[in-house]
Amino acid sequence: MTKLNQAAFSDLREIMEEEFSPLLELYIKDSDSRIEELTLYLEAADYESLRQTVHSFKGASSNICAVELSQQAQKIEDAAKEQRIEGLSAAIDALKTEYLSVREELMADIKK
Amino acid sequence: MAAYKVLIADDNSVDRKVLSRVVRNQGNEVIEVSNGFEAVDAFREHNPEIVLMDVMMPGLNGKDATRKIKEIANEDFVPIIFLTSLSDAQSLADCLESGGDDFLTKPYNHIVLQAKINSFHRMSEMHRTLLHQRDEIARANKHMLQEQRVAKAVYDNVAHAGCLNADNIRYELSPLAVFNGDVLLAARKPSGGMHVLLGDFTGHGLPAAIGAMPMADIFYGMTAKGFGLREVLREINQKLKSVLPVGFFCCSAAVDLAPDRQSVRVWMGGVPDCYLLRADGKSIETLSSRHLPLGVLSGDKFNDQMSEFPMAMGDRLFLWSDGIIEARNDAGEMFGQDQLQHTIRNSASPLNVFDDIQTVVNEFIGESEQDDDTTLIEVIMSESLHDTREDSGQNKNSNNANANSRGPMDWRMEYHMEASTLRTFNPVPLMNHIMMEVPGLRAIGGQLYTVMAELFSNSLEHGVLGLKSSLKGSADGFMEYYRLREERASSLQDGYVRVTMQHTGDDASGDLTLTIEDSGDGFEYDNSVLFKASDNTYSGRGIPLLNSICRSLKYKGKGNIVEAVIHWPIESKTDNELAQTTDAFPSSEACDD
Repeated sequence: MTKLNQAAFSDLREIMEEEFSPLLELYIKDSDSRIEELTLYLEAADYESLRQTVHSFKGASSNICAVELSQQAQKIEDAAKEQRIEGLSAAIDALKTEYLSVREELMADIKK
Repeated sequence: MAAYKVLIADDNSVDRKVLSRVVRNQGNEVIEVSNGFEAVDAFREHNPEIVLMDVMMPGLNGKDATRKIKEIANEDFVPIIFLTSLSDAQSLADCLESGGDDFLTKPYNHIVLQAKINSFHRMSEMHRTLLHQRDEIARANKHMLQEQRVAKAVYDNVAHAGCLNADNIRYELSPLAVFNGDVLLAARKPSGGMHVLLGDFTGHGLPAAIGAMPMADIFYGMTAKGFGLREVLREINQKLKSVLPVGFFCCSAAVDLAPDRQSVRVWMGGVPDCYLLRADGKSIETLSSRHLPLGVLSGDKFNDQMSEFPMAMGDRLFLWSDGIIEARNDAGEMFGQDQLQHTIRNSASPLNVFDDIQTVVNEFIGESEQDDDTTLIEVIMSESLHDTREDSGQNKNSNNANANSRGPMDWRMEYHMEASTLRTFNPVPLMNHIMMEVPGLRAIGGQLYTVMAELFSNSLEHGVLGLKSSLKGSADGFMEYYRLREERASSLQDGYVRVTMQHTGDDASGDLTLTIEDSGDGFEYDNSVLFKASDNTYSGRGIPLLNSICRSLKYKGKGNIVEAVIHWPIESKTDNELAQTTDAFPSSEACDD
């Protein structure tokens, strides 16, 4: 079961052409570090940095057509903004799980 | 599709890469940066035409970077489009508030993106055109001001050749009158007296100034040559009619001051009512336009008829263009003719009227925007008008005896005019012109003109037209005299005047014999008392005045022939003789007609 909007993903491939795979690699590289930062900011109770990071993560995920991932990120961004801390940890964990699936799918595409 | 240089500033590299690719795919050149500082630097270095700017960036954020870039761009228009995932109205409004020109919400719609880039490019083009045209206009304006300065200098040279500074004239004329179309001209007549002309050309700016040049030229040229004001006006009208486009003309008031007659003749076309204020300050007469402005009618329809008013020493004539009457105050109300008349009536003394008008008008206008075209002139009948000396600058060319040329010395000519010619034609300027060919006579042009004009008008008026000079004894008779003169001249069927001029002489001196014969009945004369008596018969004919100029003056035949001999240089008349004539005929008396 794909985590990506396939129609949009194929449009993106068409648009990016030879820059498509490098874009996916860039996304993975950025996201790997952002995902880790989210946990650190949560532990440090730095909700503003958390919000900024998840905002960027959301934007990038939306761009590579990971719709569900982007929506989850949006919810965390909203919660961080309003400092609704309860459930934030669980939401970040769920985001990580979703991201790993997306990452796997993208890696498979890059290798094709 | 035109390639635009687009700067993209976004810290999110995936977002930036995708946007960059989309913009490049649309044919544009892209510069990518990942924060506000880089954006400012890249703007300086690459001079992009459009900036796509993420709002939230680490370091210098999008809004601050926008402010800096707008500052650097100065008056150039560089559209900055904010990239934002925010969608609430306030956040979007904030983007524009900080100096952005538009926003684009994520995720981007590619079609909207390209449309916006194109649209903003059109706007930049428009802005560039605007700046270019603004600079063009500034250049053109500078050029125009320069041209106006030259035009004004030329105009001043032409228009100020006259005697506006004579002590019987006061006037107010904007220094930039050339560009509001107002003209004031004044010139002394060779025979004494003065021509004054106030003109108000339609329109403003150079078109209004252009007509003033030939007008001034004709006015000064013809007045200096001894032409009457009617002929001057006729010529000006003809010239303006032929050079000005339809719809352009000159509202004018022209004045012929005759101190010897103590009268003023006025021609007014299209100007507001003017006033004649008596020396006692009590009586005010209103003079109204009776004609169309100069430059409207063709020569055959033009009416040069002038109105004559007695004007004693100290009487004042006030003339103005409509500028003074149409002067507006803060509330936009016009000054108006009534207030003007009221001001004149309320002046303590005739001496104050000119100042009072200026003061009242200036107070009325107050702080409201000055149109600067209040033109006003006061002309006073004064003794100084007898003086035919020319002001510096005026007519100096016609007075310069040409030392290299002796001119015609020994000659004789006869000019015979029949009734049809006498009805309308004034031969005096032409006669004067012929005499002026002799350098020795040129120096006494004024006196010659006087002799010629007096003797010719005697022959025409008393001889051919049979008018009695005694009629001019009273003010009413005076008017009657000129009415009859007009009437008889225009219906003249028979009669003639023959002018004969004979000159003999050398480089140093000469004699001009002027004989004028008319077809009239003559009169009983006695040449022996001609030089002595201030008898009415002779003074009515201006004889005493002529006596002071001529070496000899005598009537012949039945009194229908008069012969005047003028010797030049005129100083050669012995001191004794000169003293005698001066004693016998003090100038004021001699000039009484």
